[in-house]
Order: sequence, then C-alpha cells, then structure tokens
Amino acid sequence: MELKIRKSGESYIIDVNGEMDLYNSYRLKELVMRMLEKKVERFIINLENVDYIDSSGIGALIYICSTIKKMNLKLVITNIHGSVKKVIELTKLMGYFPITQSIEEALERMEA
Amino acid sequence: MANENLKNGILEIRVDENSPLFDKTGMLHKEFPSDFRQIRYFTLLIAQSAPPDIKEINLLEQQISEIIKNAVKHGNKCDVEKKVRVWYSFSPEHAHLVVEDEGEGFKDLEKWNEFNRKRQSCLDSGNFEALADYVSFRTIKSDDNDGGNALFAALEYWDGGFVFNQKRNCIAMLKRFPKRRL
Amino acid sequence: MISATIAEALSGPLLVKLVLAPILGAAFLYLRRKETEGVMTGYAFLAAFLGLRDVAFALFPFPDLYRASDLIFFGILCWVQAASFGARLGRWLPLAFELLAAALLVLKSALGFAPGVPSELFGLAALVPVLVNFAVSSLGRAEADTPGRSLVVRVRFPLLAGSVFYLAASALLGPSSFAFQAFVIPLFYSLGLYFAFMFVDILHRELVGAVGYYEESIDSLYELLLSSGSAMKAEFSIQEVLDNMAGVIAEKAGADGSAILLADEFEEAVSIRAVHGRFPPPWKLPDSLPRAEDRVAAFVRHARFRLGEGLLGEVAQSGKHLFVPDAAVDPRIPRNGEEDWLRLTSLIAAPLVVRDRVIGAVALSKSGPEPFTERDFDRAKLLANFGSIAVANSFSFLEAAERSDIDREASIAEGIQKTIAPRKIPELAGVSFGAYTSPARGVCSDYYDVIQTRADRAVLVVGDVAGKGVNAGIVMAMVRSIIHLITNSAKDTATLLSWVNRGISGKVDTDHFATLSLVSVDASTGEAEFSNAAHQPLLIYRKDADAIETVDIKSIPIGVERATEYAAKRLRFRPGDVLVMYTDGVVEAMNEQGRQFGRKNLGNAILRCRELSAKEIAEAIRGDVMEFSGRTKQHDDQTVLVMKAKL
Repeated sequence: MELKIRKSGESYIIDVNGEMDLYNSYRLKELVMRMLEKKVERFIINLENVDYIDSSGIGALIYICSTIKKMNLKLVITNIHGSVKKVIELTKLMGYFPITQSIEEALERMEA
Repeated sequence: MANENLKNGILEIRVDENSPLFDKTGMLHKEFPSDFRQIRYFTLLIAQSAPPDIKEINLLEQQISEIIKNAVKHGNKCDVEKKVRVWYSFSPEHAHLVVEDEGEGFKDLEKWNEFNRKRQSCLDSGNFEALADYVSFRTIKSDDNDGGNALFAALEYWDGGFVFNQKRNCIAMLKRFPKRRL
Repeated sequence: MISATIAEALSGPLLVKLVLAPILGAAFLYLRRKETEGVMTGYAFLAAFLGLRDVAFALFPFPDLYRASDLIFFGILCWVQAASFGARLGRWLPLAFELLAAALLVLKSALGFAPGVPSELFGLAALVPVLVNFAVSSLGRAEADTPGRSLVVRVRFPLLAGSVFYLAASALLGPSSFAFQAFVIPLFYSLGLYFAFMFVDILHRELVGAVGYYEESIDSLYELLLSSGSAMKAEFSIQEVLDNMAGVIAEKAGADGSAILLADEFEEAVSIRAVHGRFPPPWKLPDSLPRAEDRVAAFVRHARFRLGEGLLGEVAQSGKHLFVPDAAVDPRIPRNGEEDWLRLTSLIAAPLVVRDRVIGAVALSKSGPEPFTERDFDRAKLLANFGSIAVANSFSFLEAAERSDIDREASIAEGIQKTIAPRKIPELAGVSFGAYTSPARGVCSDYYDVIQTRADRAVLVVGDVAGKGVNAGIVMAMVRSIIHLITNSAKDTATLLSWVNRGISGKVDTDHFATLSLVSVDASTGEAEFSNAAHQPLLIYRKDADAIETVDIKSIPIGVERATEYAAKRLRFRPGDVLVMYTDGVVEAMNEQGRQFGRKNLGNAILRCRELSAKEIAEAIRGDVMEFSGRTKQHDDQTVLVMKAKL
C-alpha cells in the first residue's frame, strides 16, 4: 500500500494505492495523526486505487473519522468502488462515513 | 432470501451445537499454524478453490480472511503451535465454511449481541451521533486494531447462517448465491 | 641453557610475533576459500614463513639471517601478487634477484666475502621487488576484475609505504635492535590484518553488487510483466501492450530508443509494430527520403524486412542476438545523415522467441556518448525473453476475446502456463527423472522444473502458487524466470529462495504467495542440498534402510515477508535411492468417503515401486491417486517429480 499526499487549495488529498488490510492499515492512521499534529484541517481520503479493504481498514477509517469529528475538522472519503463499497455497505456505515463520488464533489463540500 | 441470522428483525450470532452447518461431510479440509503473518496466504489457499462467479472480485476472500484472522488472533492468540482447522466447500450457488481454533471460546458473545442490538437501533433511527459510540466493539482484551467490524459485516454476508458451537471455539457459516440466469 | 634461551625469547618481542603470525595465517587460510587466484594462499604461506623465521631468529640471532629472510619474503610477496595478474617477468625476475641477493648476503656473512659492502645495502635490495610489485599492481588496475586482483590493486599504496618504512627501519636500526623487534615488526605484520579486512570488504561489495544486479533484473521483469498484465485488464489493444513494452524495455535497458518487430502472419517477414523514444534506424534509408525527423519517424514506424534482410531481418530469422557496442566503427551500420537525431552510438537486437519459434525481435538504441555495456546487453536479453511471453499472451487473449470474462482470464493464465511448462527434462548421467502434472480446472498453479546448471548438476524445483488467474500465472512466470536467472550463480539453495522471495515480496498487487521446494543435486557424487519455503516435505526412499525417509524444513511461503531467511539441509543420494517431490494436491486428494490420500499412501506407492524407473514410479503414483479418488472431482492441481539414483 502506498500513500501520497497532494494539496488542492486548503484541502489535503491523501491518495491511497493498493490494499488496505490487516498488515498495513495502521499506516493510514499514523499518517493522518502526523498531519493533524501539523495542524492540517481538511482531509480528503481518495480510495480510487483501493480494491480491497478488510475490517482493519474499516477500523482505521472509523478511527480517523471519529478523531477528526471530535476536533471539529473536516473529512471526506471519496471514490469508493467494487468490494470496498460492498464491505462498507455490509457494515452499514455508508451513512456514518462522509462519502462523495468524486474529488471535485469532496472539494465542494469542503468549501460549504 | 431472508437472512437466517435475523431474529425478531435483529441480526445476532447464535450458539447452536446441533446446527446442520457443522456437518462436514463432503467438505475439503486444511489446517494451518496460527501464524499472523500468513493469514492472507491461508485465506488464498482456501478461496482459490471457489468458482470465480461467487468470488465477487475479492469479497469472498476478504470475508474468509476475517474469520481466519479471528481464529488466529483471538482464538489461538497467535500461538504458532496452535492450529486453525478449516473445512470448506464451494459451488456456484453456495459457500460453506467451518473454522475451529484451540482457544477458550468467544466468551463475550452475549455482550457482542447486545452491543450489536444497540448499534442496529441507532442505524434504524438514523441517529448517527449515537452511532459513533457503537462503531467499535471493545473489550479489555482488544487492541487498537480490533473493532468487531468484521462480525458486523459477517452477519450480513453469511446469510445462510452464522453460528457458534457450544464451546464457542468453532464457527460455521453459509452464504447462498442466487442461481445465475443464463 | 635451552630453556633459559626459550624463556628469554618468550618474554621478549617474539611472543607478539608468535601470536600475530598464526592469526594472520589462520585469517588468510579461511579467506582462501573465497578466491581462486591463490593470493590468500600465498599470504598464508608468507605468514607461516614470517613466524618460522622469527623463531629461527630467536634461536640464532644473526642480523644477516634476518635481512636475508626479508629479501626472500619480499621476493615471494612480489611473486604472489604479480602471479595473480599472470605477469611472468614481474614475478620471476624480482624473486630470482632476491634469492641471489639473499644467497650473497649469507655467503658474505658466513665467509666474510665483500667486507666493504655493508649488510644494510643488501637489505635495501628488497626495494627492487617492492617497486616492481607496485608497478605491476598499478598497471593491472584495468584488469582487477576478480577479488584477488582487486585486493592487490587496492592495497598497493599502503604496501609500498609500509614496506619502505620497514626496510628503512631495518637499515637504520638494524634487525637486532629492540625498537625494531618490539615495534616495527609487529606494526608491519599488522599490515597483513589490514589486507585481510580489505579483502573481506571487497568480497562484501561484490556480493552487494551481485545482489543489486539481480534485484534490478527482477524488478525489471516484474514491471514488464505487470505492465503487460494491466494493459490486458483494461481496454484491451495489442498496440497498447506493444507500446507499453517498448517503453518498459527501453527504460530498463537504459536505451534512448526501442523498436518492437513482429513476424507477419502470412509472409516470411517482420514489421516494426511499436517505437519508443529516439530510434535512429540501423539500416540504409532511401536517399530520396527527406531528412526531417517526423518523415523519418513515420518511415521507421512502418518499416518491414524479409527474414534475413538487413540486421533486424537476420536477427528475426536466425534467432541470434546482436550487439553492436560501437556503431561508428561497425561497417554494418550505415551513415544516414549528419543530423544528430540520426546518429546511432550503440545497438542491441534480441529475438522474441516462444517455444523455439521466433515471433519477432526487439531492438534498442543509444544516441548519446555512452554506449551499451555488456551488462545492458545481458539485461536486454532477459527482457526480450519475457517480452516474448507477454506478446504471445496478448495474442492468445485476443483470440479468446469473444468468450466471457471469466473464461478469458482462465485462458490467459493457461496461455502463460503453457509457455512456461518445462519442454524437456534434461538427461543427467547417474540419475533418471520422471514427472507428471494434473491440473484441476484447466489452469494449473503448480510448477515444476529441472534446470541443468552444469554437465553433472541440476536444480529440481517444485512449487505451488496460491490463487488462480492471471496474477498467479504472472507470479509463476516470475518465479521461474528468477530461478533460471540465479541458478547459474552457484549460490546455495537457501540463498536462491531468499532472492526469489525478495523478488516478489512487497509489490503492490496481492496473489503473490507461493510454496517452493528446491533440491540442488550433483549427480556425480550424489550430494545434494535441499531448501524449502513451506512446501510439502521430501519423501526419499533409502535403499540401504529399505524405508521411506521424510525430510522437512519449517519455513514460511515466499511472498509473505521480504526479509525471510531460509535454511538449507545437506542430503546424500546413494544408488537405488528415490527422491519424490510433490504438491499438496497429491496428498490432499479426497476419496468418496471424505478421506485424504495422505503421505502414508504416497510412501507406500513409492515402496511398492522402488525397483522401477523414475518414470514408472511417477506413473504408478498417478495411478494410485486416481484409483483412490474414484469419482470424486479433483479439487487441486497435482504434481509429482521423481528422481532415482541409478545403480
């Protein structure tokens, strides 16, 4: 799994490439924590290139989501598809996670 | 097709020693040491026997990996000397798994079901603030990477039944796939 | 009297020297194994020589004896070092000179001849070999391609300085002086330790370099296969696969440009189908063609050659590789114009071969000042081999395009698998082989191979890739290519496994696990080495015990953790012994009662057939498994590889 960061306006986009599984999901958590320490306030997690996620990955996303919510900052998860979408549907967390279909939509939400 | 795990409209994990899902006739069998590093490898060894149609890209593999991970991590405490036994059978219409570990059994099962009930009611009432308290199931034995999320999804996925034996160290599950219209 | 002398001698500087000499000797003897020029052996001999002469000097403390032995020492040292470069004059002349000087000194000492010439002057005669040594080492810098020679070149300055210092001290202080014996001598000997360390460092760098080279090759292969694989998964077009491949091959071989040619379907000709980067044509352009970059590029892009016509047509017809390191001086490369984009510095062309049939060629060009090196040529050959598979598979894919997605994936994987099944098991004197493989559902994820590394040596491989489908097929192709690449490097089987593992771990896609079993056998002695990555244990029938022996090594599969260390076990095969390697599909075959075939039944089958040939044993096992399974559907691939040591 590879993590890349880019910036668009005030928002930081984390592009996740590969699989989020029990061996590497903690890395996304750690990255977001480091970014929070650096006072980043707007996060977009782009899962366009993620085709596999298990409960550890979901757990990482939940942790990130709840931490950011508690700090009153902004998070959007975008471009989920295939089995990643199915797994989130199975855990019934589609309503819990702030999800958009595209990065453009995510950026719009950030402004709102 | 209704989900077999539903009881009074709520999904729950049942204990049923006599469930026909524990009947292992005609099933293939493999055994693994409880090596945490190899969980995805063991999963692949089992999932590779499944016909491609039911794999749903990699959803079947992912669901199986959760069960094996639980057996390795929580059941056998990642002790390489302890074994995880898996019986499995696949067809274009079903996926059937029985997984047994050498542990003490899932003691917090009732707590989990209770937790899940509360989670479900938050979902039903659309109360996402309250849901935040029920997204992760933790006991004193949990670590940062646990959350019980695997089981929430499993109950939905294994709609033909998801049951423990009396000792709660063996779990049987069935998923039914609709017949393909050719 | 003797004991007093010994006690006195031991309490003096002799003790230090007696400790240093054996240590040096031991170090050099140990390092002897790592090189073939005999430099270490020479050094070990010199260390012994020094130790002995120190003992002799303690008993007969004559300074001239010491000086004479110094002369001999430097003469031999020069001989050893020059010999590693094969220099005739450089080694014999100084040695002869030294022996003569030493003889004269001893004569002078014993018989009092030439009293006007001080002994110290004789001592300085040692400067001759020291300087000759330095000259030979410096001149040999360009040829320092082995560890022994590299060492000689690397230590030439310290050796020169140390030797001059030593000889000056000997001349000024005299060998009997306490300062000389207690300080200068041990310091000089310690130089030997420095040499030993330098040698270890050279070996280490060589290993790192080799590992780096193999890792790069493996990375290149992986990217090549991956890029063709992903091109196949997306909107499929052969053109994209070829364009992709041209790009990857050019990049990995360090070329400025590349071209891929494929055989025409009906005519005996090859056409260029993809061009990447700047590719100056290595054939004569028609004079009427305007020398404009885009016109020439379009012309090149659609060029066609009959088999045997021109350099590229010849490569396609003969299947032989072409390497033109310096195009400027090669008469075969025409000058098409003065423009710099037409200038070709260096050219490599490799045929694309699938199952002994040439399907095309790939050409690589360099336009800058740096030409292709031998390493680039090796890399290009490797890439062309695997490019061939990618191209062949693209065409299989195209044929199967009408079928459903799932069938298509299975047939690509099948196509990959067909191109890598071993064509023929080699003949090895002293052993016979037999094998069978039975795939479960069309696509086989088992792999077996017998790779002959020398006339009397082979590596037997049996493996089982987890998962089905295109990715697993690619992993199998990679594992096979890596094994073929490194079995020639004469490393032990555990190292082979570590490298295969490193080659496929940690890549982005999953489905990259496999179990592997390797047995490297020397048929002339019966000695073998076994290494295992979580594969089924070996079953060996031992004729002298008339029983089956199980050999296993606990390990994890390849692809799980990049840094996994694998272990190896030594084995020995005696005439009549039978080795059986197999995959888990054999022992896990189910019968109608739900029981597994098991290792016991396999062992019994081998025992029953112990007098038969390897081929017959393999067939007998196949028969037993089939009989056991009855009508139960086969759920996993089965593979058996048998080796019997001839009586």
